[in-house]
Amino acid sequence: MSDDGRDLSGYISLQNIVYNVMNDLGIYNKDNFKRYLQWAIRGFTQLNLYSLESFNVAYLTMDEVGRVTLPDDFIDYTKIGICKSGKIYTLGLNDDLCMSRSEECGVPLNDSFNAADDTLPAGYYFVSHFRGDNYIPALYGLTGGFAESYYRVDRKRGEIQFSSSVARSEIILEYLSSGVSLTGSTYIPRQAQEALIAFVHYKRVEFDPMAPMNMKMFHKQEFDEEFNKLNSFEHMPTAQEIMDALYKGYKATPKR
Amino acid sequence: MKKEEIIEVVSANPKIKEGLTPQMVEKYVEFAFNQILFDTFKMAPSNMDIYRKTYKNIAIEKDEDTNTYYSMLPAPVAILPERSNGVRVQSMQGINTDFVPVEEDSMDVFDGLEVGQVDKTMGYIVRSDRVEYYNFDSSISSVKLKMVVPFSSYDYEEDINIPMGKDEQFIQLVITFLLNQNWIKDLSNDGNPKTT
Repeated sequence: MSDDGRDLSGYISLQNIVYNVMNDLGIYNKDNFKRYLQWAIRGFTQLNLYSLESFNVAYLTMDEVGRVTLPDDFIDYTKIGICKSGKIYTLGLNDDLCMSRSEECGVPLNDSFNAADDTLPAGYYFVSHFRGDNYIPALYGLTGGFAESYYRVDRKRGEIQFSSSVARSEIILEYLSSGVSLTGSTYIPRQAQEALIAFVHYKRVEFDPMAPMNMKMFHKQEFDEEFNKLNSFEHMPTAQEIMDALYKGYKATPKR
Repeated sequence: MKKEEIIEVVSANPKIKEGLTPQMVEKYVEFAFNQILFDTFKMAPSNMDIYRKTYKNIAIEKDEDTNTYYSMLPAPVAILPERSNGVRVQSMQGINTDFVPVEEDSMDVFDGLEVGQVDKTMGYIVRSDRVEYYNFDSSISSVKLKMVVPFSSYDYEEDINIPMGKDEQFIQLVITFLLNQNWIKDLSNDGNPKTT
């Protein structure tokens, strides 16, 4: 399966989860299709928050008063930066920035914003991600740890306000995603499949007034076990990482 | 077995009183047929395909007043106790994944949840005379309907599927229905079993 040039063989769709549940039950009419799908969405959001930690990178365009709109699957950000001269520079948080709240004839106003291209280099590493068809293995910002340009997150309006020193350009946002895109396709890592199916089964019996309590407890336990399996899988270090950790304390010293 | 054969078999039963018109017998055969269908559905809800008739090229119409897309039902529906009432809607070339049955009240709820934004599968609601569509793709001009229809909607020459092993029960059920009625000799040939 591929989409936009991405190799999606390791991913499944939300609908696939619902079809699996229907198949488990041996019920093939689609009476409860949307009900189960909503549970699958909730379950996937839960897994993203507590186990999968799915990070996305979005490229956002700043408007005339220095704002960008957050993606619909945004939960929290990890880095916010801009691309300049082929490098990504992260920006700093400033909760004292004025936020645009006024409008004139539908046009937002922010007198305190005056975009100027004077960003100074500073920043951290970005995670690898897709941009369209292209896989970008890693974007390296400069190491360091302080920023000269700032932003403030306006969660109420789902926006980020930038300081005047941030050039009106493309903003690069690395964020923790709910995993569920409301406007595009949602793909679920294959390792999360069983946990998600178990979650939908658990919700199905939890809200079934005819289901006995032992059945509810059984499905809760099933989900807990699948969640733990997924958690172990997600946080299992690679052999290379273990060796790195082992050798971290080693130091070559001259033999005498 | 053809529909007319079923009526003949029932009418020929010695327990059936004389004077019953074929229309009266047909009506009670329909009651029994509904019961047999329901029992079959209870045993295997997913195994009703053989009882569904396919109606192709059912036109899509639009109610401009309510901005609702709909299709008129080509025949009455033998209502099964599921959300779709036993009706399957498919695109002409498609299979069962294009449309899902929904309840009218549930649409408001789904619209307020993520599923309403994430999933654009077309929904349908079966009413007494038509099927209404939600999230409808207006590029579709006709659909295919597969429906369980009542006994009266079959032609006399048409084969009717009675589940294996249910034949005797079916005939007995019709006779029981008929024997439980307090018949008045029907002298008027108006098709109404209660008028004399």
